[in-house]
Amino acid sequence: MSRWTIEEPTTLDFDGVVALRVTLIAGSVSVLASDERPSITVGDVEGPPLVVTHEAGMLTVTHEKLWEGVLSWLRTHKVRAAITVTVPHDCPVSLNLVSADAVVTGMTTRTSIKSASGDVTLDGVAGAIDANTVSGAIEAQGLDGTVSFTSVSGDLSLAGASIDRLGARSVSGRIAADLDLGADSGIDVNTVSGEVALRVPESAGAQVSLSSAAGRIETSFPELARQDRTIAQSVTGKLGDGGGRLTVNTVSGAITLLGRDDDASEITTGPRMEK
Amino acid sequence: MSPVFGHGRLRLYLLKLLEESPRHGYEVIRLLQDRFLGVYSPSPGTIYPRLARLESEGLVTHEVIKGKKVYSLTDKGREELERRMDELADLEEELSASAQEFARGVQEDVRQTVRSLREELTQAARTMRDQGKSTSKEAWKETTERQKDEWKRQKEYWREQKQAWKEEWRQNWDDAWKTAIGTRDDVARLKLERLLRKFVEDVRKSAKNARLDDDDLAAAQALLDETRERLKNEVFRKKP
Repeated sequence: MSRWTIEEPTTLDFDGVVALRVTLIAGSVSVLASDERPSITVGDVEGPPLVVTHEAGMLTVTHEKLWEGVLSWLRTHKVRAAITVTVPHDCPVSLNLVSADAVVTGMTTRTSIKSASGDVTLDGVAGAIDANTVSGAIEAQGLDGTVSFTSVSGDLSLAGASIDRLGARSVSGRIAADLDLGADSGIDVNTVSGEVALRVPESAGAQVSLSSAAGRIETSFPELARQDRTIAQSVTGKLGDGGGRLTVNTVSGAITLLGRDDDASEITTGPRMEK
Repeated sequence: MSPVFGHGRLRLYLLKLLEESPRHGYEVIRLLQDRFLGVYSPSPGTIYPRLARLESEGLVTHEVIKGKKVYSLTDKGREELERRMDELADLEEELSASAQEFARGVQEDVRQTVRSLREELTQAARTMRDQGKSTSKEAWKETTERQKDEWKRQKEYWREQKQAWKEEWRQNWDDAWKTAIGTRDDVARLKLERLLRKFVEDVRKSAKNARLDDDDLAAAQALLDETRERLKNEVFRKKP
């Protein structure tokens, strides 16, 4: 087992990394997929040093003595670090953050992020994706795979994704997503007061069920039928061949389901960095 | 060009790489990749023209070894590198931050994309809502219009009806009055009036359920004409 204690800006590199786990209180962590040697660049460290361990391919970054009286520490210390990690794209990534922001790009296996108030940014990530925040925003583009988003008040935004399963839950966060709806993909969105705006291709095939107790429901698909009952209103129906499944439930959040012209260019084709 | 290199910086970095040792183009690309943790891979199309340009300026030179161009720094190039040593130190520092820069670029990019998506969706939802409102407004206008027409029609009908009743009522009243105070002749005339009215009503009633074409109409007219003539000649003629 190798172990480093880092107190100032440093770059380390490693022979092989098969899994990554980062625990960070404040600052930022970026995880980039790369074919080069796995490496960690620590930009700046404030407060107690960071500890990096590398054992049997498992790369771990954490604050020293993190679990010994975290709370008393948070009160008395500034604890922050800026970390950039490059690992192979097939390496599972797990990030536990308090107020630190996270950026993950290009990973393909499993990405799991828990954050309290930090913002989470995902770009071109595939595989099993799980992002949880309390008040932080989750912003993503070009996802592919099985996605689970959960927030209390943070907004969830997903631009351009071909997704097998999307589960998005929020209490008051707004949810906006532009999706490709595959033949047997399932989309489940639940909020209490958060607004939900989804856009799928005009030609999408899905069983649709939108329901809200008090929120307004709007859709650009005329084939969906509206039912108003005393306790809730709902819009249901079948789009196209009805292959996929699209379910949205809210208590008071408004729901909007829009269709996207199939030949219109997707929003993901924005300016991207040259790699 | 990627934002990881500012203006003129790539050129400086190329000089530095060639100062370390003579290298061929592909090796330069590999080194750049390594330096940027693999997140920045310059394409040959970026690197070779720059090397050629440096060569035309006399800063580097090349010799062909095993079919590959191997570039090395000239004295003039070394001079330039010397002169820009400070800048090079800055560059080194910047480069160590470049992976982080890249991550920041990604974050900014995604942020902008989702922001424009949000705006787009909000706008689309608003447009749809407005359309929904205006169509419902139109529908409402149309039904009110229709109801107005219906109301007018009803009003007219009842006015006609009222007029008819009024007339009938006056007729009845006149009749009753004349019956009470009139002469025998007056009473007879009244009775005739009633017979005529009754006749018209009966005919109308029996004609109502029958089919009526031109022949039937002609026959009816002939009968009526005949009846009138006979009444005129046989009944009323006697009393001048």
